[in-house]
This record gives sequence, C-alpha cells and structure tokens, in this order.
Amino acid sequence: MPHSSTTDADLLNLRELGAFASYTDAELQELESIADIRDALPGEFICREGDYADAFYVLCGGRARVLRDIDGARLELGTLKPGTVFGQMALIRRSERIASVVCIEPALVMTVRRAAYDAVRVTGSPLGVRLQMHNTIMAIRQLRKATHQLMLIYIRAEAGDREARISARQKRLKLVSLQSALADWGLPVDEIPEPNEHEGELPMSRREYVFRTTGRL
Amino acid sequence: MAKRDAVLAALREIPWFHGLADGDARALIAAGSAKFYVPGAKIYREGDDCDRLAILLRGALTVEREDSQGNALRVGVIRAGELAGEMGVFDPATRNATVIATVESTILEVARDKLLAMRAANPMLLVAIANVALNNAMTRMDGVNDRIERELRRSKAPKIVKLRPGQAHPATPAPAVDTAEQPRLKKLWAKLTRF
Repeated sequence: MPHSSTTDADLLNLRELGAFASYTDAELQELESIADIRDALPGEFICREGDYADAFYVLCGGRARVLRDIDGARLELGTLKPGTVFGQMALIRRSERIASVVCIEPALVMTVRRAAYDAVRVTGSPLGVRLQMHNTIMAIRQLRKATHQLMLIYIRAEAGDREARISARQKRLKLVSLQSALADWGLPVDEIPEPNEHEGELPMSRREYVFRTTGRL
Repeated sequence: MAKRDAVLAALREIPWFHGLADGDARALIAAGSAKFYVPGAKIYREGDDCDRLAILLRGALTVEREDSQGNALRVGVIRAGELAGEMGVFDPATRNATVIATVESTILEVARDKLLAMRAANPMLLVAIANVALNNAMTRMDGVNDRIERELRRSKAPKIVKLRPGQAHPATPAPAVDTAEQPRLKKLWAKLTRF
C-alpha cells in the first residue's frame, strides 16, 4: 500500500530515528526522492532469507523481527526498532539474504533499490557520500566484532577450556556475531545474549583479552 | 614540483584511482605528504592511534601482530596501490597491527581530519577511498567467518573413542563376509593369532 507523500515533518521524524540524526535536510530529501515508502502489516516479510538482495531498507516506524534458519530450526536473532537501516551488506556483496525480516506490528518501511543506490554513489552527491561512508563504517565494525569472536575462540582454546566452554556456546557465538552486526545497523537490537562475562566494549586490545580470560599478561 | 609529479604518476597507476579527476589527485597530494622508508623501518605500531591513512605508492610492507607471548606474527602484506590504516580513518580505533617496510617504500600519508575535510570539495575521492576500505573489510570478514566456521566444526568433531578388546568402533560398519568363506577365515585367524 503506497504511503502518502512525505512532508517536512516526516523528514524531521526520520532525523529523530537516530540513524539519520546527522543527515542534513538536503540529504534526507534526496533519500526520500529515491526511496519507496510503504506501510507493512504484522506478519509481512520485508525480505526473506535466501532471496537475492536488490535493495536495502529503513524501518521508519514499527518493529520487525530478524529470523534465520540454522540447522533446520528457525531462530529469532533479534528485534529491529524504528530507525534501523538493514540489508546493505547483502546489497553491496550482490549476495543472498542471510536472514529474513518480518514485521511484528504495523510498520512503515522505506526501500532503496539497487539502481537508485548505485546512481547516487556514482554522482558523488552528499547522500551518496554519506551512504558510502555509513556502509564502510558498518563493514569495518562487523569485521572487528567477528575478529573479536574469533579471538575469544582461540583464547579459550589456548586456556584449555575448549571442552567446557566452547561446546556450551558454539551456537551462540554464531548468533552473536550476526546480532552484533545487526546492532551496528541502527538502534541497538534488544536481547542480545552475552556469550561470556568477559565481553566488553570494542575495541579492546588483545592483551586485555588474554588477561581478562586467562589472568596472564 | 618534480616530486609532486612523481607522486601523481604513481597515484595514476593505482587501479582504484583510475576514474578520478586530476583535481582529486592534486587535492590528495596537497593534503598529504610523501614519505620514504628504508627496509625494516616501522611505519606504524600496534596500539598507536590510527589517525592517518597511508597509500603505498612504491615498495612493499609487512603487517605484523603480537601473539599472547609477545612474539611478532606476520599476518599480511601490503602491495603498491593498497592502503594501510584505512579502517581507523573511517571508524576511529587504535592500530591493530604493526606495519614495517619490507623493501624501500614510498607512501603518501594523509591525516584523517584532512581526508574527511575533502568531503565537500572532492566527494568522489572520498567515495573511492571508502569503497576500497569497504571491500577490504568485506574480504577480510569472509576470511574471519570461514575461520569461525572451521573452529566451530572442529569443536563438533567426534572424539577419540577408547575401545575395549574385541569391540568394534561404533562408526565402523562390520564388513560383509560371505558365509561360505567364514570357516576358512576362522582357520586363518586361528593361525595368525596362535602366538
């Protein structure tokens, strides 16, 4: 169901959503001009796991749940709140979606298709630069968090706790790396489980990791 | 002027720089400084603030990290045209590795604040550098995810099972033996196990 045309009030509301707090009026207007905005009903899928990524999305209103099939079981990875931008990594990679996103209440969804996204990037418009940098920062943070998870695995192995601890958390490590990535896509995803009591704020030096997990310097 | 032209020529040889205008190249050179390093020179140290981007114009660099015992581990190389420090420039952090000149090397170094200040005047330059950083991060992300998967699979590998004498391994199916052959095999077994 197409939404009515966006007003200045709507742009201001977009800025209040957090992900766009630093966007200028011109950038928000350009974003609105290249995007489709529509209402979505509870239970409606915004994107599905396995589908080819041809757009990224902004959840302008309402909440949505992120689902993924792991070993035949459908798991909930987290909940997206208004202001969350998601789907860019698969769009950039030209890959399939690694998770499904479904609305859990009436929502307002902004969709930016590949053609529009590529067009603003090549023109060097303020929005194009903004989106490029936003996606670059996201990818860097995802890499850091994934490296963080891998270091935890190695540190546990070095400490000889492999049987006792990794076996208890191996599935959760995978989930957490995905959820951490989702957390970087906008407002924090709620109910992110902590894999262990030693996970702290990033960045953290490797020495600090070793010390906090093994007591050795 | 000759040095600036040499830097410009080196930039023009970099694939990701091909589509950029001369104005972008000159702005980058004006904002940065070309530096020369002898083999073995430490350009950046692990743990330092990452507030500068380096474009390797000529030569080769080694990337090292310290392990938990303080030993230097080589984790990668940087070749001509590639970047060092690009991740810290876009998402501030301390350097996660030490960068050392492997051979005589020349870099064009640009401070973070000067690079980001080119956003308005040279947007395509910033987009190009951000794109390189993005692709680097995604490539490395694939490698890290593969290693996480391998480690998780390894932790699920079947343990070594201690067998009692005469007990067959549960995963090993008993071989199918023709019943007509069994008396002969029994005799052979008796012969082999006599001692």
